[in-house]
Amino acid sequence: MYMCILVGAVLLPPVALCAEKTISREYKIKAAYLYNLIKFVNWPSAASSEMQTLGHTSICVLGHNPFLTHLEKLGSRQARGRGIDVKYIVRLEPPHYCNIIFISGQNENSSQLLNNSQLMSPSALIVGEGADFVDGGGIVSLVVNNNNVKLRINLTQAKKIGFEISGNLLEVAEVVE
Amino acid sequence: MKLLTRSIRDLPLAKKLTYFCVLSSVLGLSLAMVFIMIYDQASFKEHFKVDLTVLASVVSNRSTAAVVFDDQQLAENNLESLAFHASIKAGCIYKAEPSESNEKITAVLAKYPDSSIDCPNYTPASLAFIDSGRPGFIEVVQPIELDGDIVGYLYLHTSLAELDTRLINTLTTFIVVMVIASIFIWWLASLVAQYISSPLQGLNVTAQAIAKEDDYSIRAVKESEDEVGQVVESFNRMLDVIEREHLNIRESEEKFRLISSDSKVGIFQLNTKGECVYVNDEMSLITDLTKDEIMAGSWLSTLHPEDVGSIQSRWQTMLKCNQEININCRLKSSEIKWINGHVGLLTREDGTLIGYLGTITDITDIKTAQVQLEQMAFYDTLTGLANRRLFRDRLEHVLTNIRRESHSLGLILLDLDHFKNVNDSLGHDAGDILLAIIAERLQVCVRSSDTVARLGGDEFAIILPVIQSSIAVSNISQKILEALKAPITLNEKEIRISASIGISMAPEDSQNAEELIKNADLALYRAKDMGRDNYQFFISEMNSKLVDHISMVNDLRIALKLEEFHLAFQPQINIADDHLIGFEALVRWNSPSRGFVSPVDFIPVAEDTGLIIELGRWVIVEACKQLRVLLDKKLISDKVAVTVNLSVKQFQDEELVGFIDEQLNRYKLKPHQFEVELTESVLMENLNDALIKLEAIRKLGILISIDDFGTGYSSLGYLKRLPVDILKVDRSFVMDIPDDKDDMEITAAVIAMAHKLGYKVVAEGVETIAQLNFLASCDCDYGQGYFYSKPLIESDLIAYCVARLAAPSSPPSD
Repeated sequence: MYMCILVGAVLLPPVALCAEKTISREYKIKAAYLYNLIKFVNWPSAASSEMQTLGHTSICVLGHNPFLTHLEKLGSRQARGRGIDVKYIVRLEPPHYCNIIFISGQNENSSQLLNNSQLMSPSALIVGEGADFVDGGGIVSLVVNNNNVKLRINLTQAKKIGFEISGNLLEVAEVVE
Repeated sequence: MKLLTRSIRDLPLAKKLTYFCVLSSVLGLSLAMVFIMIYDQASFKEHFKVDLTVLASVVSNRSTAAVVFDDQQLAENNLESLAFHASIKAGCIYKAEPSESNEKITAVLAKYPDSSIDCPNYTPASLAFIDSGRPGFIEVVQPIELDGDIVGYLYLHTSLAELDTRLINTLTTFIVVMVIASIFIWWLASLVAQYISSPLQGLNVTAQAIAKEDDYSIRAVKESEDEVGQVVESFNRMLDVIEREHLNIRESEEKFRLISSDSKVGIFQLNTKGECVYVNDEMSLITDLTKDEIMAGSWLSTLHPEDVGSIQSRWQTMLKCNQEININCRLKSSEIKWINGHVGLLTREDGTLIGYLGTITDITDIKTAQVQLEQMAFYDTLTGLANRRLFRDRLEHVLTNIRRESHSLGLILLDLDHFKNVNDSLGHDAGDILLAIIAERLQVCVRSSDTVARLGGDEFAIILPVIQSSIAVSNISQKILEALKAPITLNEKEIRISASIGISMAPEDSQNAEELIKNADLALYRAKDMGRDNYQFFISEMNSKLVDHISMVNDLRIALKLEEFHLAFQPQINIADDHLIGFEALVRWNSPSRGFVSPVDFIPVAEDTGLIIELGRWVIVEACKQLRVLLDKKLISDKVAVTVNLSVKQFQDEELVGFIDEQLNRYKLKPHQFEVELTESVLMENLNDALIKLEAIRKLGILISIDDFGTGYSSLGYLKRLPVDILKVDRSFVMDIPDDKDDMEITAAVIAMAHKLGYKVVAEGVETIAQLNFLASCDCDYGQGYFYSKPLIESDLIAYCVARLAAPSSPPSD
């Protein structure tokens, strides 16, 4: 059924109702990708032990929230033995604590948000949208390509921060050095 | 199957051994191969599964991200890596999607080798091998896990064709190996078989050589010390034994030939078919045939025509039933020959028949002698009649038949009357001729089926086996009596002979031969008693008389032993002067069982059995003893004599005179004090003899008196010649005095005649004074009887004598 929808989304012309649905489906997938990223990425040791102590992985949607309610479902799930805490924040200020920061491409100030995030949460995995997001200092970018959501990873940036990214993930992703 | 078994059995030993080795090797190899292949297949399959598991695990692990992030390209790339495993025919990667109902729904993410593959659409729970799907295929489902969640599945479809390929390869290798191994084993086994069979072949060659050349000194060569070597050794030892036995057989064969050629027995040998294979010289001598003729089987044709049937049938039985036979038959050669033969079986030790060995002996001489012996044993040589033995045999035989049949049997016993006189007067040769003539006459009188036998002396017997009634026997007996009476000339003298016949009938009188003869004998005695020259049938009364007679004989014997007898003395008185002149000693028997037995009854029995001699001697002794007693007591004068009666048998006793003399001396008696009394019949039995005896007695001085004078047939002529002192007038004449004038005249005449001849006369049975007076008037010398005294026992006798002494004798008076 999902396939049908996916295929339908690809083949049918963009109609208002259908377009809305397509967008909803895209973010449903992206929400799942966010969740799955937790399983393939090892945070730098300090952050990792902190996450262990807190018992949850915190996902922060910075700025615009394109996910609607798709991320809410993650709150009931676990990854790597930890729960998932989803937050929607406008700006990064303490006491906000984030392990993954998602910056939607729909934010007009996304590069500012990125820089801010790098500054405020240096050990957070910064995930964005669009092909050039990683070039601008993001680590992971969710790129819609050929009706599919592809990953783009800035491995240099990730390694610099101290992330360990599973080879499996790297295989499916487009790696930027 | 049988054909196969036989053809295998008939194979040479080496071939058998080779085949066996090859076959067992092939079998063993095959078995090993089969097990190896089964094991290989199982283990290969197991390895295959492990490989698949590892492969599936690696691919699924590597595809985690591809599944999670929907990277179809990567997933397909990952599946491409399966290509190095040729067995994997298809592969599918599914992505598991959490649905609203929380059920995992799978969607195919990638297919291998291309998109045309039809991936099964289902949701397996965990890793699984699915063998049962299609034979020759294994399907593997490997879940793709991420962080404990199943995010997808890897499906592998593998072909087991490699397994088959492997099987074929192994099989091919195996066949090749087996062929090579078999060839090698064949070669090896042939070598060994050759090694084993060649010494055995050597044995065979040796045995054939021995058989061909009949040379038992050849030996097989022993090449080794193993079992075959031992067989060769045993074979050679066996040859030693055979060689020895062979020599022995040659020797014993030689002995047999020697014995059989010198033998006085005809010897022949037959094979199992009854064909003659050997004959000795004697055989052809006996049969008057050449050896060739006998070998041709013709000797049986020389059998006497009367014997040929029975012998031929027994001969056939012998051949058919394999049994021994004894033959006894005649041969019809120039003269009739009797042969005795035996054909025995020739058998091996285990009893199988290999032929027959027969012998025949010429027993003509023995047979002739046997016939003569039989003649002697069963026939009387003088008359040619059956003898006593054959008579008994025939009688027994006829009696056994009579029990089955309804007719009667007559048995005639015949005794010639006064045959002794013929013998005495004409001699024994004449007697024999007479017997032969009688035998002829008897045979003429009877049927050929009747048996005439001579039992001995002048005794004959005739068995009339089939007789309707006693009347027929009576007729035959009459005929015989008539026939015998015809005059016979012997030594130029014509004599006539008669016979007495006793007849008994079976089964009326008895069915027992012994009893029948005894009965006829009794009847014969009766016929003699009846005055001879007659026939008498047996009547049962005769039998009871016989029983009485036997018991009387027994009692007499006992009486003699136990001295049951005693004497009574009857005084004899001189009629003129009334003096006692003597006593007549009379024997008395008082039997405890029978009571008083009259001498009339027991004296004839004693006479018949010869007991009279013993009894008579006892009487003589007792009489002398008693006289002595009276003399010693001086109760009588020495002129008184004691009179003792002598019977026929006693008188014939050669020792009689000597015995009397002895007793007289013993009791110191004078001869004139003893008197013997004889009856006329005693004298008439054999007058010549009697005269001699009487003379002897007379010579001793003993007195002799004749008893019962006048009752017999004695002629005066005889009387005149007798050396007699006293005549006794029988009581039968005295008894009727004075009533019977005839008796009185006879008595008077006898007395007168006696006196004329110089004899004294004693009258017996004097009971009345009238009798005494008459006797006195006739000048009768002495009287004896109840008038004077009854016979006195010992005590009475003494009393009588004492009384006589007391009352002096006086002449009788009216």
